[in-house]
Amino acid sequence: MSKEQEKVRNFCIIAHIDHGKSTLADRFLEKAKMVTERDFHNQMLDSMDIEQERGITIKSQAVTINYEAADGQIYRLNLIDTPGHVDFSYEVSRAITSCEGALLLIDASQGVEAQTLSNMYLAMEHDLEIIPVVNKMDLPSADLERVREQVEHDLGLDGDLVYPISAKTGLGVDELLEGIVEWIPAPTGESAAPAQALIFDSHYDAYRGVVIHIRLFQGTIKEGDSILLMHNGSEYKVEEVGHFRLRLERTGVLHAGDVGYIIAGIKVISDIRVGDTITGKTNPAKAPLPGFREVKPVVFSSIYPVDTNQYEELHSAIDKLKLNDASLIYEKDSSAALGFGFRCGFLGLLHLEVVQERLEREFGLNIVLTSPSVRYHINPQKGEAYYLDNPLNFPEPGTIISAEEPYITAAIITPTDFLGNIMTLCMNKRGVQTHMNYLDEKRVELRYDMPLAEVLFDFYDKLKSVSRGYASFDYEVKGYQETDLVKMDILVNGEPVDALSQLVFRQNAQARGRGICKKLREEIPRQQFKIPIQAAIGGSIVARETISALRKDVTAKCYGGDITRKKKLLEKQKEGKKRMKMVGNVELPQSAFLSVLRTDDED
Amino acid sequence: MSGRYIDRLILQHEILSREFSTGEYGTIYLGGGTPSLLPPKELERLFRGLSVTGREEEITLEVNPESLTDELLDCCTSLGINRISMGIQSLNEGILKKMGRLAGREDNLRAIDKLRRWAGEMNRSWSIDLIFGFPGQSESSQLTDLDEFLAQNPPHFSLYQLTVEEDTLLYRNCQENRWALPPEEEMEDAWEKGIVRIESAGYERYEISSYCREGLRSRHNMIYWNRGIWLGLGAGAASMMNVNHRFTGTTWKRFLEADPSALVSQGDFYEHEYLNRRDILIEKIMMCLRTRRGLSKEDLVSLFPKDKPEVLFADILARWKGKIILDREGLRLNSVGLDWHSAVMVDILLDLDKYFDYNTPL
Ligand SMILES: Nc1nc2c(ncn2[C@@H]2O[C@H](COP(=O)(O)OP(=O)(O)OP(=O)(O)O)[C@@H](O)[C@H]2O)c(=O)[nH]1
Ligand SMILES: [Mg+2]
Repeated sequence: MSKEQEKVRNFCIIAHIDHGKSTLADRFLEKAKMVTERDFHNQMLDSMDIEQERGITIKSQAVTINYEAADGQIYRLNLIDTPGHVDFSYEVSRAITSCEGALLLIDASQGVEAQTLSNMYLAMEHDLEIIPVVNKMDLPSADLERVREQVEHDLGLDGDLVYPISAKTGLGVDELLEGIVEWIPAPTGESAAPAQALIFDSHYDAYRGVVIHIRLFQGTIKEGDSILLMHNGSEYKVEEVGHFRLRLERTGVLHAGDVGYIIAGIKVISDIRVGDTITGKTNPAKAPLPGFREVKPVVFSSIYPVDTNQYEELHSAIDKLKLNDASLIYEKDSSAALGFGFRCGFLGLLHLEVVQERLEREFGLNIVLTSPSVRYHINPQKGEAYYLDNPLNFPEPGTIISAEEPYITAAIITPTDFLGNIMTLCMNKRGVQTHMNYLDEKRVELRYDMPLAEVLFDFYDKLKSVSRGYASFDYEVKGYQETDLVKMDILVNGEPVDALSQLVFRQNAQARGRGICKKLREEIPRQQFKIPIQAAIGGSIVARETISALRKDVTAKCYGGDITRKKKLLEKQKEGKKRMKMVGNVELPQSAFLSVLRTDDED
Repeated sequence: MSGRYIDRLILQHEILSREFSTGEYGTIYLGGGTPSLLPPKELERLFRGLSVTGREEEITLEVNPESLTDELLDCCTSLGINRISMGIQSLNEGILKKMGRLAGREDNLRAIDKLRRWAGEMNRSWSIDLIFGFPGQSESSQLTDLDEFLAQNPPHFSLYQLTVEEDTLLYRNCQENRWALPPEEEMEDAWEKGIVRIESAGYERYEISSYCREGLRSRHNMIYWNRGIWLGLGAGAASMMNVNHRFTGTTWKRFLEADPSALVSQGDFYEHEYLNRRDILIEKIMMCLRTRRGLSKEDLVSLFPKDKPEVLFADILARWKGKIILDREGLRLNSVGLDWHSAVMVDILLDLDKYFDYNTPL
């Protein structure tokens, strides 16, 4: 191992959502004087607008900092800040594969929560050195001893190893940096060996094209080298390599153990696959690295351009977005109401919203998404069983023997005070309790088998509200169970809108129908005429609402001084309307399509 | 206070008129706030300061019924004011009370009589206004209000729909559920019946909210609606200096407190707004379509010299069939269409942005 390599540390920061990962990353950046005071803002690494606005991390973000340790040596720390939300756990799992260690943050007043556990297991699977860090020690409600016990009892880690810090005030961060140098091993790997670089992410830069994010496990890659993408053998010439600072910092060469980027004039975007291995052309590796587990989307929806002429633009935008969002899955789709688009798979509804927003913001597109659905398993009377996630393809009810829907195992950790509320909620969501375990006298861990469809819709919000924010939740897909499924059509102005159809559990259908109609009435703006909104199952109407006609603006005055104001108002209304989709002779706002998923069943 | 305000207006006029080349004015409108509260002496001083000749085609003064004294009317006569616009808002005692108006039903009726007499002597005109949809009105009470209003036989009137603006008593009362706006359906029905009564009483709806007897349009307001050139005085007043150049007003505080010598440097009276091709186009269409005349053939040619309006507006004409008309005379909303002005405008904007190249040379 070279002297250089001995001083590299690759680690990620993992935790339950909001436990302070990005804030800790801020402190590291500050200590390393990576940003001037003027340029600094909170959660520096949350570089996307949506991340800043929502206050959550969506993308894992790698950054290299230099740290002068107590031993007088300068260490190069490659840290990866990861997201905490369940929908983005694929980001965490990929970050973990390029590290030797992980800081597992635990909020000093919240203690161990559902994703603390699930993210720790991910790190353990890859044999990472885990350093437990108790954050937010500045809070009056911080309870270090209690959390230390949880670390030992719930996590099975050594409580004496805990670093108490405050990412907000910087308390304990110096000690933690020393701990990182001390406890996390330097990367192994030989710079002279055949190159093996794991692609863990990528992004598209309008000027430079595809930028590949890699962890180099073996060998050396430098500018001018010819490289091979091992999954299809395509060959490229390296134009630039370097490290992630807050920007890309060109170094000319990457060695075994490094985390960095490669730019190689890649024209065919589909050549780039996250999880693929890059090797050198002259001295190629014999086999690729193991890569990543496959992503399993849980919710499906179709994306269409509002303007049907923008299909090609949408296509190229999705291709580019996919570079930076490996968990997005898509294929061509078409709809009577909406024209050509893409059927997409997402890791959850937040993921879906993020994709929608990114397509709009980063690519300037106006799009609509159809009613999200889980993937069902259909056993037809004739032919072989198959999967189905698009309500449009639901067969005639008489032609199937049975339908199955995906189930999950939900793990919920809650203070005992809310146990009753939560059990009621889970029961209403068709959940069956399989396990209950008192973690200590104040906290319970529950496990439920529940239909995924119930969890996707408003379960998370409801859980938070019935537990005043204290319960945490994690899930994993378990398998399929038989269900009684019906297709519900939504008719707008008498015409069925295929993009609004959905598959629902028969007993919920009527209530869901009422909820959807009501929600649509709120979301669809009034138009020139009255618009009936109906929910129908197999031709019979189960719910109905009416949107009254647009109110005439009969008598608003407007004189000279009002022109500017009037014009602004008009522009604003225009912007709103630009995002609407003509379906038949009715204009549907984008929000209408997604509103169906924020629908409470009406009792 | 009013003295200082008049000083400022005169100074503002002096500065603005340097950039405003028309010389004599065609029409003058004293409105906003309550110019009728000014003592006649001050009004005279203002007229002198603005070099009003008294020979202008139309000089309008806005008044409140309670300030319509004989003294004021005499003053109007001597200054050459030939049109008075009076805000009465309703003839329903209960509604007026609820609005917190100083003048009640009887005061309003008396003031109207006075106005009618003043106007009758010479070739003078007057206008009153009515508010539609105030909390407490029902379909039938609203129609009664309208009938009584029409019975006054004004040569010109305005009909406004109530708009609830934030930070007003009305807003708070509605928010806190003390008052409720009349049910929309009722008001729409009242409106539909009302419009028939207005038309059968022989009025022309020449602009969305303005009605007149033959030939008695407000010439001044027509300038706004044709997107003409005008000069506006006062704290918040805008001026249209040129087809692509507007001055927008400043705040009261700055207006009154600024040092007069600093005012000459102009900044405290207005800010400049330069309008691009798209702004001009949109404003022209938006304002002209408010009137029954709409955009004339000539307007269309000058706005879209290279495009055929029937092609450019094809989608609009189809979508708003029965409400918008394009023929030899130009493009306009018909009497039903006027009620849909905003919605039609939004579609026009969308279509222009989509199909029209704002960079085509004029
Ligand atoms: N009082 C206190 N607040 C903190 C501390 N660290 C983070 N926070 C606050 O906790 C909230 C979440 O912080 P983030 O750094 O965004 O948390 P995160 O773990 O990156 O969140 P996700 O990326 O969404 O999973 C923010 O409001 C921070 O200001 C701390 O040490 N003390
Ligand atoms: Mg974060």
